[in-house]
Amino acid sequence: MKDLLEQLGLCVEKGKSDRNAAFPPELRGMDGASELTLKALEAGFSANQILNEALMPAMQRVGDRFAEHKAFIPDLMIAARAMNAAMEHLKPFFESGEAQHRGKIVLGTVEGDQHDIGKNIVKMVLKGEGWDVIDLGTNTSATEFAEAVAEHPGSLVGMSALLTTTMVKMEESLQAIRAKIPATKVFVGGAPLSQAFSDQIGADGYFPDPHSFALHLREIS
Amino acid sequence: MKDIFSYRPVFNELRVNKENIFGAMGYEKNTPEQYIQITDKLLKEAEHAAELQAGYRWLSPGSAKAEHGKLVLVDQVFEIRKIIYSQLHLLDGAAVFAVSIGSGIDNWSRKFFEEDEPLAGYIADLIGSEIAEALADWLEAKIAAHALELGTKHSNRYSPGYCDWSVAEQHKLFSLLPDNFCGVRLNNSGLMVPQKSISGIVGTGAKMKWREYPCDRCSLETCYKQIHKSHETAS
Repeated sequence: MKDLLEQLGLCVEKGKSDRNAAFPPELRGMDGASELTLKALEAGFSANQILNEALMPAMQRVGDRFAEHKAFIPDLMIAARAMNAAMEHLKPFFESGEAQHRGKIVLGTVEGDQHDIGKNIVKMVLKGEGWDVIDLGTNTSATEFAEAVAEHPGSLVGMSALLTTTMVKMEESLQAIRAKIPATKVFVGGAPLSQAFSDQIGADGYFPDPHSFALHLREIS
Repeated sequence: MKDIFSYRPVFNELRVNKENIFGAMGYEKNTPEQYIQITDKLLKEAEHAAELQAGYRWLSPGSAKAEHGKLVLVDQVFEIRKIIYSQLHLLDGAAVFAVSIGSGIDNWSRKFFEEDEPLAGYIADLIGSEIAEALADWLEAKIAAHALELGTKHSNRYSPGYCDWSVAEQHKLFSLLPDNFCGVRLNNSGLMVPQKSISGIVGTGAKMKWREYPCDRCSLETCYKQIHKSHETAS
């Protein structure tokens, strides 16, 4: 029985989302994360067991390899996609309250900036980590950020910017968010940013990649 | 005298370097077969999604000068900061350029994300960036040939947003080019639309030299020029 969870974890780690996935070659033709999650549920494992004993440890192993520079963004992405394929079957348990998200996080690229690749990668990694992600898209105004945190009480915020001209919008957005809900934790990311900039605007942290962000969120959740 | 030059090169004229794409993913070597296969497949399709446009305005000797840490091109004064100033301070002319691969690859990448194919979307985006760089290389070779024909020399190319030069100066730079040059327009933030576009300047003059980017003097670790450089060093 435990083999089923081990195999599920392996599929997530290797990014095999379902039976049709051609990679990795050693798992070709075998069940992937989607099928194995269904089988685990049928075998009587609870959603929390599947999450805590198979899916999360698998994501952690990929994350550890990323931190050691042995895995890279594509490896995080395929693992997160396999994780999300498994999570699809666990959705009803989240809705019923039997399984819990780590928390809720609002993501958006700031006003004036249309870059969305980085934010989208962060989104899929955080979803894979078990976060309920509210994606505001690109060109998000300070008001839109503030309204989103008011609509989703207790949520964290992740803001992205790829230009030096748009990163200045982060301070304005942060102030609008804190004016609505003062205790909101706000994190920032994007190529031109730094921890010094995060400190300067009063954000709760800068993260250069999705894994370090996910790791920090895991620690504080 | 003609000073605006614009081109629509065909894809095969570009030298797209797959190793740069793998390097941007993080792989200096031993790229997994899965990513190589996806990249190969998407590269073939990218040829049809890219709409290549490139061009420059040639500023003759006398219309460009660098002094007191600033660069003056015609009636525009640029705050190019120390790193670029050190490379361009001996110029007497310049080529102000823009290249764009259109919005096809951006839209294509976005569509992959929407269709739950994020890896393909990510790789398509990297391919778009590499094609834009290859197109800028292609145009730089044209500018170099132009300089050679006139018996002068040229520098490397420099763009707002890099080497500490503020991206806000894009507006001044584009004021030196015809409207909608190469299909590129700017939003208020200085963001080029289509996003896979590159603009900048190449210094010209008898005392100009083409030098590698002085990345060791820049603190922006996430800059793609740093990433490419470390990739070149490792390989």
